[in-house]
Amino acid sequence: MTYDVAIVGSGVAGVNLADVLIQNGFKVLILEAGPDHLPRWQYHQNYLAAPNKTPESPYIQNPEAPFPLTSDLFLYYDQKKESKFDCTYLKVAGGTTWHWLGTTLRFLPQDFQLKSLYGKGVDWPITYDDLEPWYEKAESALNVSGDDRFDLGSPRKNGYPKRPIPLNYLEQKIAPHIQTLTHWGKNLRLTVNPQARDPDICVGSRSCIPICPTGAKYEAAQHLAKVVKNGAELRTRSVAAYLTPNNDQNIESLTYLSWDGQKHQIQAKVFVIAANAIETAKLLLQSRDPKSSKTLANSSDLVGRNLMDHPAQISWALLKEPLFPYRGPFCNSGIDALRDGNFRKDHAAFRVQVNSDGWYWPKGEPSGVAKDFIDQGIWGKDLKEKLKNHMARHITVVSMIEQLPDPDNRITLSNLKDALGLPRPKIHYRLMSYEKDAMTEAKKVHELVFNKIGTTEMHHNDFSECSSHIMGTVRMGDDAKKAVVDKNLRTFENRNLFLLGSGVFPTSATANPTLTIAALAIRLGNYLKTNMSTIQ
Amino acid sequence: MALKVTRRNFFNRVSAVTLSLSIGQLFGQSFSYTFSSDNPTSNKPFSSQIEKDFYALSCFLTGFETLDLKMNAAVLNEILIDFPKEKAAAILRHFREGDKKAFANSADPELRSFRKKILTTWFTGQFTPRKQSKADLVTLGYLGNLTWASYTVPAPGIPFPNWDKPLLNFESST
Repeated sequence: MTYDVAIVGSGVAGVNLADVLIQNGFKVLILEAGPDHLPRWQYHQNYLAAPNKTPESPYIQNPEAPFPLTSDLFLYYDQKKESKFDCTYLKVAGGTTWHWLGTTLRFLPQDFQLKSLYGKGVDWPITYDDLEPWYEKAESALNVSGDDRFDLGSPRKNGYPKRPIPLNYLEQKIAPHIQTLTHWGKNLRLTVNPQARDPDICVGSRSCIPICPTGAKYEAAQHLAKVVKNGAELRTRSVAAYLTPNNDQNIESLTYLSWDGQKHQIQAKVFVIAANAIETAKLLLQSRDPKSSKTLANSSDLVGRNLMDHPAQISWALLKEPLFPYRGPFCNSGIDALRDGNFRKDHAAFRVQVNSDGWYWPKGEPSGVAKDFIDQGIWGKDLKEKLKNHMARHITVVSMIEQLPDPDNRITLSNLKDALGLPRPKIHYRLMSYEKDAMTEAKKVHELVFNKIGTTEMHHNDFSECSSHIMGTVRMGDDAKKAVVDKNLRTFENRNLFLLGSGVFPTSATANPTLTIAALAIRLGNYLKTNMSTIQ
Repeated sequence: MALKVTRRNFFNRVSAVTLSLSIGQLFGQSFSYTFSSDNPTSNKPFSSQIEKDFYALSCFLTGFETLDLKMNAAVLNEILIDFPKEKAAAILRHFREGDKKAFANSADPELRSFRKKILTTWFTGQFTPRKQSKADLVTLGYLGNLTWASYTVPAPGIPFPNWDKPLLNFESST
């Protein structure tokens, strides 16, 4: 059977694309390496029962479709210890939106022109205006809540689909103080995050990562169910192994392995690889032209290169007054003022977010605080009171740092294999001074904030944490020598092969990537709708 | 299974101010969680004198007037890994019959170690991994540890609305 479009990956990219295609009468197949997902309650129970509460703890690791784990970064990635690329993702129907944060910022117009404006990185082959209508459709698809009163620097034609999630008490109390601060001449106003989270369903479970017990947050898994119901075919436990081109350099077939190791081939008019920035690049690197033995779509030698994340600078403090953290969704607000400026000529931009989950990210469970008190010999009602008053004053702020594309940050194929005999990703990753200098600046801003709102102690991580915003391994551009796909996400060398996801981002900017992934997916769906007949 | 719980439905099923919140009922699960720090989840009698004595000592050391009985049994089991049952029973008898404050402040290394182990287990909810019932034990310790109960907020994963308001009944002792 020949499909109109075969999509590899059932996450937010593949599902939003499939939704457009199905609505327009295309015959669509979605391949997913991981298994069907379990019921939500099962994931929730897995989370509660997990000794280590990591983003992956509710989900089951399968040797046939392995994914990176926070608790063991070397289980899947082949990397040197000093590399410390600690981004993770899932392989399961619905993909990684099972455990995403839910923040849905748009990129800024300037983010698309980093090279032209600041002489750094590269420009995107599209502008903000090109993407704006698709952002709006993506916000609708993801049911984004937001506050229209705030200008986040990304012009909007219309309001958000849903009313904003209420700020938590802590954010309400510190916002007036932050508003009085300036840095580099910019006002550090606290703004409300747009979020793919329904304020009518969210009940403040505070486990957005790794699992929302009520389904308040957009998850591609729910969207996938709708797309399958409307006619898309889904094959889970189907691990894409390689693509094979014909003499005309069109992709003739995709070979995948079922979990029993059997090979299967599928034919389609168009192939879209939407696996994620690691897996999409890996699939291309596994695919070779039988005649030339060259890697597919890689004459630029850029497949796998320019791997990016948003390195996170984390700081935490003890407030003078109890403001009651550990309540509400993880992150409802942030400071957007430092996402753009002339300083980008010298160092990265960053977005400061205020976290609602106390010291959870930097310090883990607050029972560590209890241990400290117990070690001091405190017991009885004193212990209970001290603990209560301490936890009520925890605050963490995190700056998500823009990362420049660096061709030496890359994934290649490891000699180590997974259970199906496919190569594991080998990672080389480092931060450069552009990001490190911004981390130093972020610490200064965090101290400004902490001093203003009143704290009795403050701490900074002296290393970066990952944000698991994996980007940039198959970037888009206008020049086949400098990019893997064109502005329509088509590979330069294979007319019916498209790549989708944050892998195509030429630069990382400071916005969480998911909304832009969804916007690009819907845009691609409309491109295919219009141009299908001319593609082959 | 698509589980959608609207805020209205949620409050219809669970009163927000009701102290006992049965998440098991909400999610069709077999566990339950006591929202309040001072309300046992069950009224089952103690199965032994040592359990009863341990409960009394735990209340005294933790500052909680009442404690979850399932957690009490689990914490006692954890203590008995480090302290033989006869030794633990003797220490508990000493507590029952003696000067409680003196017991709590005693500098005797064995008593200090006993006290610290009890407090640490109650407040962290971390138990030595066991082959059987490991998942249940981790869940019990995660939801039932007294760190979250001291803060009067349930552990993450359990609904806790009204985050835009100050924490109810919070009395600062600073």
